[in-house]
Amino acid sequence: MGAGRTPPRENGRVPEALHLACDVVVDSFGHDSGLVCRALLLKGPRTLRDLVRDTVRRSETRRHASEALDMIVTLTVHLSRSAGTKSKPLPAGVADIDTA
Amino acid sequence: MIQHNCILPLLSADHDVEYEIETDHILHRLRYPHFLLYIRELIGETHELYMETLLEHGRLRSQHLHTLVSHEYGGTKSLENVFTILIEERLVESVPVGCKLNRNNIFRGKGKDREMSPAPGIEQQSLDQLETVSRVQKKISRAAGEVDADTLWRVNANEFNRRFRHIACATLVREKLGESAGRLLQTMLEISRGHEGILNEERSTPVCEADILNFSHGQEGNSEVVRIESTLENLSIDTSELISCVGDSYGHATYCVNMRRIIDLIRIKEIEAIVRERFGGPACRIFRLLLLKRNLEQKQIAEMAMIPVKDTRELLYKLLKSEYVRIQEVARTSDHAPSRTFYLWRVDLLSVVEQVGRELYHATSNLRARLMHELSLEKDTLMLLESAQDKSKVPLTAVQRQNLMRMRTIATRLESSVLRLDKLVLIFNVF
Repeated sequence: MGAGRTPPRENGRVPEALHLACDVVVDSFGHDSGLVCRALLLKGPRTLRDLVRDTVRRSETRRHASEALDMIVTLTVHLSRSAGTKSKPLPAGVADIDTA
Repeated sequence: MIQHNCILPLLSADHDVEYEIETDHILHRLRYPHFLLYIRELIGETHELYMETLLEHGRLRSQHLHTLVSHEYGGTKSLENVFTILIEERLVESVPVGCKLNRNNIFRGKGKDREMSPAPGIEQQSLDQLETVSRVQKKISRAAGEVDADTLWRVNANEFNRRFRHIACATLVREKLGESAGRLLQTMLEISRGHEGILNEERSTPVCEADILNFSHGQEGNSEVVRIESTLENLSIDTSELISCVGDSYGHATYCVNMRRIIDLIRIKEIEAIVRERFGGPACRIFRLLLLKRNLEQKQIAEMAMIPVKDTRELLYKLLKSEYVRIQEVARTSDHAPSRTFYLWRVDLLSVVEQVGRELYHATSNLRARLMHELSLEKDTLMLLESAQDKSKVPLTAVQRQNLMRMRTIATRLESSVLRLDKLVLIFNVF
């Protein structure tokens, strides 16, 4: 066959392999290990301190995003309910945002 | 994750310990069923139990491993010998001690592992070389006739991959040249296996004809010698260059197996099968033609593949869209006018192999995601079954039982698909 020699592959460089590796870690060791794995894959070798900072930030960002989403859902429900009826007081978190 | 060899500690320049993810070791986890199956078929069920325990715990000291296996095994038979066989076969390896310093040096570890540190000044460039050092350590300890009680042991996934590579090579030769050629190649690879350094060796180490005959003689008897000699000759004169004669020693020819060449042939075979499956027989004919002849024009392809020009054009553009073929413009004039330009079609095998490798990982991810989804649908029932003492007396409704049966069938299919896919992942991404 007129084909050139194909050199060996390095899985560390293939995005699909990294994604699969993360999935395997989450399934085998749980969500927190998945966070550590993702942080190490994205940023390369890290010290424990950096790793803690990265993973905490990531999980906090996720938590904030989740809280914001909950708040949006609450606000939407509140607005849709109050559209045809008399206005009711907003939930605590939403009220804070409103006054801010 | 360190216990399961998924993270490797490194020593940074400012003497901080950094942690590096071991993608390959993580992906090896998908291959554990293959490892266990291989051990059961090749050596025995007791060895499989050892391997299973080691895979479950990641890394263990020999004493701890013996205790766990004895507890599980329950027999009175001495199990020390079983573990020694696994070490001799290189199916388990000692965990490299300490951290890599700037990917070059090793420093002494902490606690119990301190005494096991390799000699100072040893430089290592990669994990494969770390493996080599651990092999040397093993040889030294074996020469001393003992297994160090403090050594941590883990499964040597690279050795398994190496053996799977050899099996894949022998299977191709068997398909191509017959049963005896396949067996002979397997024998040659078994003889040279001990000398292989890295997993992706291009060629095996040279094996003398006399050694092959001696090895096969023990297995097959005197009458087979002539047949082996003729098979060896057939293999060496085959145009696919599966093995090469590299010289003579004491009147006997010396041969080496072109493993990279064989793996390339396997990859081409698999890619052709994929093209045939996705685009049909004519597309496969075009693909094969381009692989043989390199650069061809559309008209030439149509003539040589004996396909109408219109169909050829359609197939070529389908293949181009999926990145199995490439097109190159060769302009005859500087204005790049299409009427005065050659459009040459070709196959870039390297990029196709990479693409198929990526697609295989993607397909594995999808299969696993589907498996997780199917399991999550029956999560409540599964938890109920898990929590129950006697699984046969769990009160389940008829619908629950039906759903459980359905889920089991789907899960079995998906798991076996993942395992089948992993064989291709090995060929395209590991070998």
